[in-house]
Amino acid sequence: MKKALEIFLGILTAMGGFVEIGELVFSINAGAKFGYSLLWVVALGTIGIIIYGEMAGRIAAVTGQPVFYLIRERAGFVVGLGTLVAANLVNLLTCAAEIGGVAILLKLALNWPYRVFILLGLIFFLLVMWFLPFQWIERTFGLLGLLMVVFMLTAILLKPDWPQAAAGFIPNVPALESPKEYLVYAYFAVALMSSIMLPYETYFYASGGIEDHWTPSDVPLNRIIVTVGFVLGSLLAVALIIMGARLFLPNHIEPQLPGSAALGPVIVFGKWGLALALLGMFFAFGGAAIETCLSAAYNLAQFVGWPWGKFRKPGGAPRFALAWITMLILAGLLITTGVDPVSVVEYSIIFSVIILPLTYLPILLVAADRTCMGAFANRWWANTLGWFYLIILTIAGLCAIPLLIITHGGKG
Amino acid sequence: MNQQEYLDIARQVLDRQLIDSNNIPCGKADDLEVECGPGGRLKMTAILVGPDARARRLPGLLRTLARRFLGDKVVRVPWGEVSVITSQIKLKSRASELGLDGAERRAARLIRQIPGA
Amino acid sequence: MRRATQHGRWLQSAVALLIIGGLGFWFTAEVNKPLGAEDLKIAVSELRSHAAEGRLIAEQALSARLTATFFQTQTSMLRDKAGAVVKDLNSTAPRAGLEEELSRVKAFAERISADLASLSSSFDDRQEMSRLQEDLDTVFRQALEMEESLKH
Repeated sequence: MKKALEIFLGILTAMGGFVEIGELVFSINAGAKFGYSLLWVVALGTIGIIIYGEMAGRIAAVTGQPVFYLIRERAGFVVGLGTLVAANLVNLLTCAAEIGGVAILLKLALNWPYRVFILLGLIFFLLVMWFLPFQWIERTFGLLGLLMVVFMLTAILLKPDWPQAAAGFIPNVPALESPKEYLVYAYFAVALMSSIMLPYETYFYASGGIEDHWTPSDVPLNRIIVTVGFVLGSLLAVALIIMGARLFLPNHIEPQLPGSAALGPVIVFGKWGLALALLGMFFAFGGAAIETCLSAAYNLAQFVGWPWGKFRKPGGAPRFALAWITMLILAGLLITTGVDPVSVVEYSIIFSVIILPLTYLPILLVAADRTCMGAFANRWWANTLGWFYLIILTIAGLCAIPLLIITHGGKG
Repeated sequence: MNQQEYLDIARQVLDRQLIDSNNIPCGKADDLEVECGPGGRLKMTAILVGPDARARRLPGLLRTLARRFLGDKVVRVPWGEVSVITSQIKLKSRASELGLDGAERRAARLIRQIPGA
Repeated sequence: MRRATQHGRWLQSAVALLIIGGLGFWFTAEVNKPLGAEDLKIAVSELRSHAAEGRLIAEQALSARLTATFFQTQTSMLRDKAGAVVKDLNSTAPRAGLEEELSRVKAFAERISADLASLSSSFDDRQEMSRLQEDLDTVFRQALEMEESLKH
């Protein structure tokens, strides 16, 4: 009974924590530019994050080792250090963007000055992270992030062309007007893929397993949470693409603001839709701000070998606590300069693609290693899929920055 | 000490997590000290932990910068202190007895001033 | 051995300097590049999107589906976005032969920016709001046309 409840909550938490500001913007714009035709990327990315999330969770449950232990052991000190720096830079950018997104949402609800909300948001996150235990934080934000379901209902009530949407799940390249448009399509495919497989999700998920004191008996629990939770979460991304295709594409709008996303629920549900959309996004972005910030502290502490974890009191893991506090404040300072959160997250998502192969290779090597994992090592199919995704991500990583430059960040 | 007949120090010791006798993480095996015994036999003598042990492994300019900003402290943990090697390296003494808790103690002093720590 | 490492270090520094210098050069060249047809097309499509969104927001507000705060904030954020486009257009010189297009785009940008600014303070004035909705609709259509013409 207790186990069933844990699985149920775990699934809902994984689902509610799936979308953050970058994925929201890229999904809606993918729909607004290319209709249903990029839906297959969501499917591809979701299977990828399930495969690697499951492996990272399984390694955490069986050996008690989080991702950055593995990166340092398997990639070596120098390459590992490079990955750490890049990963935490991306975490910093993402965290800053999420804080900015939260401040924009608060402004849309109350209309005080933007920077006041950045400060209030920062204080709120600091208090939450300082006082609440790990599971509380994870579940509160995950479960309240489920208010994002309003976007799913919106997508359904906007009456999409289901057969056409279903066809979008088969990898395809639509007929476009100019060669440049094909590059924009490729850019969106890479960005969408990356936004679904953002590296912090794996770091955070595996460290979370250790925070929750997983043991080898939790391997099935891990498998169910990852599979069901991430598939349900990806339905949110699907809903956002459908909303883009049904609402923004015919209106010739390419939404650049979090508030624009709320217009979908507004059209379908009026003011209630607005309230739910703003609240849902608040908890989704807020959860991501906390996760990226904690993830940065996990990564650093795990790489250099400090005591880490929210299960320890701040006094028991002082350098870890200092790391996340510093990270949060740096992110706050970065976004106070007035940079646009949406542009910041676009860059962080594109740079993420480059670190994904470096993150995933050590996970795959350890998960496949019988001497470490014993009976829990990868079966042949997990290895095949793992290598398949590693190749795809390496190709995506090589294309990411050239595409960013050539297409002016997807603008054309 | 270990069930296996041989120990691959590059893969099973270097860069692994150290935990003290209370299971508290206390750094990584940042570098290893090996002695050349009689007859050319190599013998593990110590695990080296700390910023300088890490800096040594960096290329040129980065090494200088790392030493400048992170200091050149290095702690020598004698090989005899190692109790068990699994995916982590367990030591026989407490971190404080081995001198591995300096920075952690200073940070704790700072963080404990905040209520709720 | 020693000579080899010294050699390597020089080579490393030289390569690093070359990369940094190249990036810097590329970046300054990119910033100072005169405005081309492609940049204009991007600017027009951004403006077109902002006008269309303003129109949609006005429509939703007219059917009482929005709160005053959301309406004001979202439209003024859109105005800032349009304002940023105006600033960009003013800060660079156009490539020869594009002067006329540029002044048309600037006119769009200023009109859309002004419309959005008035829109954000029109929540209680339905008449003004529907006037602005119509005007945004007109500019939107013109922008869309121009975008098409710039594609070819």
